[in-house]
Amino acid sequence: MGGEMSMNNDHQSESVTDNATRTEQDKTRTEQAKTWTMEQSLRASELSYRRLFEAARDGILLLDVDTGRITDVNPFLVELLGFSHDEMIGKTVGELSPFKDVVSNQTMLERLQKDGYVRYENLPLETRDGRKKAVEFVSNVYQAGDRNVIQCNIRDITERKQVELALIRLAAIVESSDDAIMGKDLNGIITNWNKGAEKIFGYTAVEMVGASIMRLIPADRRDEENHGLENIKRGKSVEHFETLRQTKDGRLINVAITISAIKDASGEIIGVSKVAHDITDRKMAEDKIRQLNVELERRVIARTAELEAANKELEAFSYSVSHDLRAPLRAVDGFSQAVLEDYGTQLPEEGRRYLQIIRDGTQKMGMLIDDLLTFSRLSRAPMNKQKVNTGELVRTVLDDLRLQQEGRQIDLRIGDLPMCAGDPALLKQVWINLISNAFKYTRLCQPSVIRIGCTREQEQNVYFVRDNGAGFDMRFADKLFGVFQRLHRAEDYEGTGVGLAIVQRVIHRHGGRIWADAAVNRGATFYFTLEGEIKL
Amino acid sequence: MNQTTSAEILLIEDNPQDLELALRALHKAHLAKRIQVARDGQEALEYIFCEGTHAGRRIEDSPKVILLDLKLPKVDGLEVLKRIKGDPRTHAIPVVVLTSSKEQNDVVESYHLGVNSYIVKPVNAESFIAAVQQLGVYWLQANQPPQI
Repeated sequence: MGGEMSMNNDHQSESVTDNATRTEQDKTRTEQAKTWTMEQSLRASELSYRRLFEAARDGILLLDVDTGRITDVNPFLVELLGFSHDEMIGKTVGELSPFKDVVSNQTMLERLQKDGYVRYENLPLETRDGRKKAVEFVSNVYQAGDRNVIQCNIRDITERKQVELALIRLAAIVESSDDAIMGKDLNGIITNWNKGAEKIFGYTAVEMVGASIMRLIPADRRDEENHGLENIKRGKSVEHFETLRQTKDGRLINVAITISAIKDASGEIIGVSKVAHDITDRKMAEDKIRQLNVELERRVIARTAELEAANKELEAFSYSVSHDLRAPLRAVDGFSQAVLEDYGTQLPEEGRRYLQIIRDGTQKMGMLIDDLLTFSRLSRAPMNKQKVNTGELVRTVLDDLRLQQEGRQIDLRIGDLPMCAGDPALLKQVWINLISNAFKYTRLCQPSVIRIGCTREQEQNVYFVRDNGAGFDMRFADKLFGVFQRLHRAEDYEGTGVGLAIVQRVIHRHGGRIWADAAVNRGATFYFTLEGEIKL
Repeated sequence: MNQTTSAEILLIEDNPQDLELALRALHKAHLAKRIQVARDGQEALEYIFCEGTHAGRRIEDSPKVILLDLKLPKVDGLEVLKRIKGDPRTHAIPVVVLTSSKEQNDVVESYHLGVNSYIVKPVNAESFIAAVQQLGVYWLQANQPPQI
């Protein structure tokens, strides 16, 4: 600002002699004092204006009203636009690159002439270094001393615009959410109500804003809401809970609710935001699963009971077989023997032979019953699984069986037998049956060759018992493990046909497999695996 | 089978053939002049505890051994065993279970109840006769029962 504001101070002392003149002089002195005071106050005013101009957080341009050229620029605008003070002085606004395309000097001046001010609410600018800014641009014409001046105020509203945009986005997100998003004050009066809330609860925003949240809460859950509000007021967070709410049409729905405090700038709690998610479908699915589980449980219990009943029946049956089937056999054999003992001498040779056949039959029948009972017992006996030293087990079995093979030439070799996991009593029966079969079917061999060992196949231990005996025709291999199935005549090799059935049952109960490889008169090999591996 | 004199053996057996074979074996070996037979559990208990038709018998005149079948009409063998071993007046009487049952449950339960021996009746006639005769020899001659 130049000297246009300075006042005329050009008074000289005059020679005044008369009263009138003195009065005149007094007047003049008063005027002079007044002028001086005005001058002082103007100076002060200018100083404070200057200070505002320098310190303002708005950009300020001063233009010459006739030329439209910039006469002054404040430091804030220098900083905002990135042009120096000197670069801007003497230019028109339109000549400054940030305003080039948005403010036409001519138009602005014309409008200023007409209206006294021009206002652009949201001008997009680019600063010298390319940053995008949004500004509010207001021009006024005012009189400064004897001249008119244009003052342009340029306010940086970039941040405000961004906040506004974010708020618009947020509002759109809130509005488009499927969840009910609500605001309420600390008295439970609803302040916000989005489309999701409308959809879930059936009430429109018009119906709900200003109404109490209690409208949504079933009578028996009112305490829950009061309690929640109390907690929020006390600063406790009630984060997430599931509950029931009532819709406009009276339905009860399951909702998952998240609530949190709304605080003002000073951190004081002014309300509560509430997000409710409709979980009725999920709850129904959960109920369905629960129902299915209950049903499944019920079926398992029923099935277990059935199995237990069946098992009991089987036990009763076995008991009956064990007890009742033997008694008549004992009578047949006992009285045949009594006949032979008491009247043997009176019978012809043939008669005595027939009685002997009857007695042999009863013995055979007795063995069948015993084997059948063993089979049944081993099938249902509880498993007592543990680490089993196979080598030791096999040697114990051999010690017992060899006693019955006295006088025979047997070439028997035992390979490495790794430990296994199983029921020792049941596995012992397996080895007894397989090894005694080897002894039995090599009876006619000179010498009998028996090999017991274990190989490793597909990461599993495969135990085997091999002999060079009678073997069998592989065409009948499928019958091998059936109960009472025999591939040899009783006259050649005695037996009931239960031994291998027992072996198979035990192996299967251990989760293993059993198979055989054989040829008639060229021996047989029985292989079996046991479930899993044990780390030893 | 005199009811006034005390029996040496109480034979509890419902099966007539088994009964006859057992008696035959005992007689052949000249064992046990006095044998009391009971055909079901009820009858056995009446004899042992001197009730019903045996009310006149003195309980102190106990047999030297009781041979007990397990599967019996009316009161089963295990129940009879339980009553004998559960009563201080009779629990010292030797009881031998003589049964067709090889069931482990029966064996274990019998020993739990205090049986003195458990014999499975063989199907083979010679074995059966031998078993009964050995029982007789052992319990009537070799064994020393307590003086009740």
